Amino acid sequence: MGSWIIYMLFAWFVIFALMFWSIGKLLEAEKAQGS
Amino acid sequence: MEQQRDQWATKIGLILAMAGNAVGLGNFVRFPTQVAQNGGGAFMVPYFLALFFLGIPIMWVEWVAGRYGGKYGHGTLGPSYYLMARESLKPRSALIMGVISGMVAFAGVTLLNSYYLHLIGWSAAYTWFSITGAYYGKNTGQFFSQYLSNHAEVFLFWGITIVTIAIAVGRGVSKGIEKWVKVMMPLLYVFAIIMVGYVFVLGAPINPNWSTIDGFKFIWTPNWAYLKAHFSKVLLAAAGQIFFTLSLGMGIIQNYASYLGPNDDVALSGIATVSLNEFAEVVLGGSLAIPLATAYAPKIVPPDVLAQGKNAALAWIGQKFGLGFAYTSLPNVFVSMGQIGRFFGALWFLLLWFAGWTSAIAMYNYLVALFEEDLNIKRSIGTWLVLLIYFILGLPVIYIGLDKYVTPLDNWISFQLTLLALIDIIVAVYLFKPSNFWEELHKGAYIKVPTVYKWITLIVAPIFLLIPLIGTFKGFVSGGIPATVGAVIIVMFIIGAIETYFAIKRKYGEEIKKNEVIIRV
Repeated sequence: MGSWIIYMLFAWFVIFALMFWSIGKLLEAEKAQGS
Repeated sequence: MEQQRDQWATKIGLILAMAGNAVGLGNFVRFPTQVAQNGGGAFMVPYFLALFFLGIPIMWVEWVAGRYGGKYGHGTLGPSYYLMARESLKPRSALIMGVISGMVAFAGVTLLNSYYLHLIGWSAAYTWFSITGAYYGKNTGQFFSQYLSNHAEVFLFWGITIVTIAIAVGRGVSKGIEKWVKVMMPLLYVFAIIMVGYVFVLGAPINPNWSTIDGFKFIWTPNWAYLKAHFSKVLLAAAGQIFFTLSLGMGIIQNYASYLGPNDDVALSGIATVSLNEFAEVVLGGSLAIPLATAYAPKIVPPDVLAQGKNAALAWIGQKFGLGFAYTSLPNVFVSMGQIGRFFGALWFLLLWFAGWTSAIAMYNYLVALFEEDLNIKRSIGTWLVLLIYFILGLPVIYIGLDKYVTPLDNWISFQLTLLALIDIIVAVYLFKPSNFWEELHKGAYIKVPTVYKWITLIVAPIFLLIPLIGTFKGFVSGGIPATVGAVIIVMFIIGAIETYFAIKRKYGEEIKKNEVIIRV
């Protein structure tokens, strides 16, 4: 297995993490504001 | 002076609208083209640096600027940046900064759309070609070239695209379109995810030495030698792609953010917008056209180029077909599915058409807002004026073509978006005062932005922007841009400057005359 796959999976992981964290936190904040 | 403007009902609604606007042909068409033209893995290194050191901070800058302008009832860049520059400069000097900003934004949106609307038209054409099976059994590269040489056909699909956009904008049917976006965008994501899975298992459909996996290797193996040899060019391409894909450096984000309340979050919302778009670009867009172009290269690329290896073959497709890269590679995957591929091909290109179409509506709305808000021109007249501008600017794309018009103009757009990003920092951070910017960023914020980002925005980002701007400027002025393209750019700059000057003078004429600040909210 080449190192390229590690770079790719790492980049994908960072993007996924950023996406789930930011959207999750945003929904959480909106929920808290609404209640 | 404060005007009552509509505001977004929910933050998540705004994020989805912004992501819907940002996800378009930039992800699935322009991104793979830039990767192929700039050495694959050589491009990805500065691309990720640009994402974290430019994309995220400038997204924050533009959100802050948009929300600030919105407080004064402005959704366009010129007047908003006049107000921000006024924090450090006298009104007459601030007017100059406002005019420069508005001019670059106007030229950026109009020039970009002169060919972006054609890409949408190509998607409409390929929807039709998939239904009829027109590219089945043909060399997809030659088929694309033949399509472009059929001016009447190109004109027809482009014409349908711009007229339908004008009608949608003119009738103000944005709310109706939003309902469609909620169905079509998730469908595009799901379809793209399935396609990525298919691409991974497709292997080597033509020649055992040319597989889709080789395409992934091309993207994800850092190519330091290429990067070193073409440093400024690749850096500009990477920064330009980040701005293009995130709709930065053109005034669109400021326009969206101008509808925020004065204490609505911008810090977390900015990151959410960036990450949703990057998922569509890197994970989905990056896993389709390039791997497919690699696997089908033996069918598209001449044997003498093939003999030079995979990097050379992909660079050849990128140079030869420019923004047509995805249109030469993707049809092959539908052909490989047999007759059912005609249905999937039609659905894919239709979704792509829709994604581009909605992005174009956002940009069209910005230009109409320029006429309506800034110059008090009726919306219906503004809509026709924009259609006229688009029509005139789109003609050279058909009649001059890819090599001599679209590719150099697209390269210039990378430069211009990067230039406006630098102006963003100069005006909305430095002239607005860094402490004001930082305070505005945290007004109503759901997160505390790490202080390191203050220094990234103040020091790292401007340097990062200046390196490719300085490094490539000489190339642009010494013959890098054909005369026709140069003339069109200059004309759009002049129109943009005049429009912005009158827009600012109309609202702030008195304080500019007295050269002291009168209007404050």
